[in-house]
Amino acid sequence: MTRRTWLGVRALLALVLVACFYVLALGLAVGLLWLSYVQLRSGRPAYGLIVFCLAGATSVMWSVVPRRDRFEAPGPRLKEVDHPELFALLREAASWTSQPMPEDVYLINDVNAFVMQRGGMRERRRVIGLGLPLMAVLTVDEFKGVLTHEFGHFHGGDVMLGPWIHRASEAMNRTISQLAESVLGFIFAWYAKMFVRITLAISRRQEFAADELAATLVGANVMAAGLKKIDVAGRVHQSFWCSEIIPIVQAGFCPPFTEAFSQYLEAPRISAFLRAVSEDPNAVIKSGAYDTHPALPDRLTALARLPAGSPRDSRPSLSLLRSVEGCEREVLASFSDDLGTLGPIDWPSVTQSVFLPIWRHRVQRHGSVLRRFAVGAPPATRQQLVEIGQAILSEDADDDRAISAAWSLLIAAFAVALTPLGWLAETQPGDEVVFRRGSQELRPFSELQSVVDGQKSLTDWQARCAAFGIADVPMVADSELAHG
Amino acid sequence: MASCAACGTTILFGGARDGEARFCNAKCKAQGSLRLAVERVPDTLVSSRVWMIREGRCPECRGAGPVDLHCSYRVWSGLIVVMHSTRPHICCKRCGTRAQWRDAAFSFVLGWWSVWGLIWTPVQLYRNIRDILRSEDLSKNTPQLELLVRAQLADDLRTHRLIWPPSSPR
Repeated sequence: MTRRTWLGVRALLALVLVACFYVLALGLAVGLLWLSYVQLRSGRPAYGLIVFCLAGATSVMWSVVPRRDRFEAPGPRLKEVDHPELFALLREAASWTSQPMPEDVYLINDVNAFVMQRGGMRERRRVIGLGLPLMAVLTVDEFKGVLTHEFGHFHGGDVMLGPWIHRASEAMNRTISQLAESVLGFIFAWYAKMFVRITLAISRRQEFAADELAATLVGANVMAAGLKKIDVAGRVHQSFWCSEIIPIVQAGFCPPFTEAFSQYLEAPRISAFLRAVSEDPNAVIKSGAYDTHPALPDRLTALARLPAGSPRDSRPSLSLLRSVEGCEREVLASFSDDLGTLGPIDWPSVTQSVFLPIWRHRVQRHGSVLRRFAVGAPPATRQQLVEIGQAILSEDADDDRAISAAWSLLIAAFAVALTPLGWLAETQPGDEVVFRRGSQELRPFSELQSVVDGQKSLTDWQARCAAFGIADVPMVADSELAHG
Repeated sequence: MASCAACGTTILFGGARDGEARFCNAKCKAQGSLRLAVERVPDTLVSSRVWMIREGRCPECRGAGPVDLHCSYRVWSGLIVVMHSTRPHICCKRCGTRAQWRDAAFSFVLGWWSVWGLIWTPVQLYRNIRDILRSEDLSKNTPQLELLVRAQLADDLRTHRLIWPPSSPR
């Protein structure tokens, strides 16, 4: 069976399943109505049963009624006049796949791109969403591959089937949640499970077809390189956003988060961790029955059979946008109006403007637990860190959480103690806090972590601190503590 | 001797593993793995995500927040069957109140039609009215929102294979 026939058969099966679901639901509702009618006609009607049947029938019918498709913009809408280069690339991908240009192009805050179709059969609007962090990690060639892949979904007619399946799935979910854990609910749950497995199998095949189409334009090697980058970046973006960006946004600033994401991925600690994850032989990823996309190794294997091609444009794809800063501001504004008005901040200023006030506050609150330590004689055993962390959190906090809290307090204490002595705290996305004074440099976290892990002796640290003249500086001065 | 990380039963032989944790059977493994995944989500990620939800637009009306978790309670019954549920809504206070009024009305009409319904209907009505009248401290999120976000992040970790690289302390 060819791929096209397979897809056709599966798609037909999905449509039959959609129809069967509505037949099942409506049949059940009619059955319940009929039962209540029979009860009413009988000489001694059971009113409780009648209410049960009527409520059940109403519930099922209410669940299957199609809801109005309420479209919510996933992010700021891009205009051709503002980003002509990006639209030129979109046009190229559209013409390669013989598709019209989408009516709406949105920017999203995700390492992803998507296409969809809005409206009914008469007033169809094609929508494409492009991730700003996605553009931060891809070259123009790789991004072109992604765009062609997305247009491949229009080309293959995938977006025609999608809305039907989506609406049927939503109706099934509503029915299952209405019927809760009753026998009827289990029947629908079983049916929904089968439906989802079949439709997702189609979805995974459609991804292979779209990959193949994209590879014919940009070459299999470029496509494979792009997919690998997307896989890694997509898995850490959430962590990056929450740990690196939100604290700065909370402090009232809009940092250059797109550029910061590229720096984060290249930070030594992060890139070493990601390398270890990707090389872990125990973490071989396989496609699951409930995955919308095939697993990366399967996609790479499929691409390996296609012509390799060669890269032509290796500029970063962000160069297609006229103003990245403006786009970042619009993305933040799409979360809430307040966030769109935040003042810009460059990364070197983040430590002084954002973290130093946080560190001072932390030391004021919890610094008393570090009173007996000095910069040259800091806590340097696991047990000491656990005790400090538990004093901050609570005695029953688990060791890992306690150690994490202890490190945060230690870094804050180093910053508050060393800043008046002319040291400058600096940090880059994904990197640790580094203290510098002229040519002198201290990396308290990594240096003391090696001591805690037993890889280094504390005397090295003590000697360095003595050489810098800071060995006897108390970790926390009384004046820094909150009183009362 | 090993004990099940979910229910504490002593495992003599066999069982199921998830990393270093051991479970007595597949059901315990599913429960325990989810619990472990929830516990593994770093606190900073949870608090950041909660902050974004609070500051973001209300998903229901697209108006200004603060957004939080609001629950509405409903019941319907007939003869021998009673169905009661607590329905979570992540939305602003206004939309939450609207959902509570809606479910109170639903329960008032359809709740009473069985013996258990006579007991459950006043309970669900009371819960809805209590939450409608409760004046909330809008400056703080509910602990339930935090729990929900933690569970969602743990689910993302499993389904989208997300990873949390070790973050340097700040």
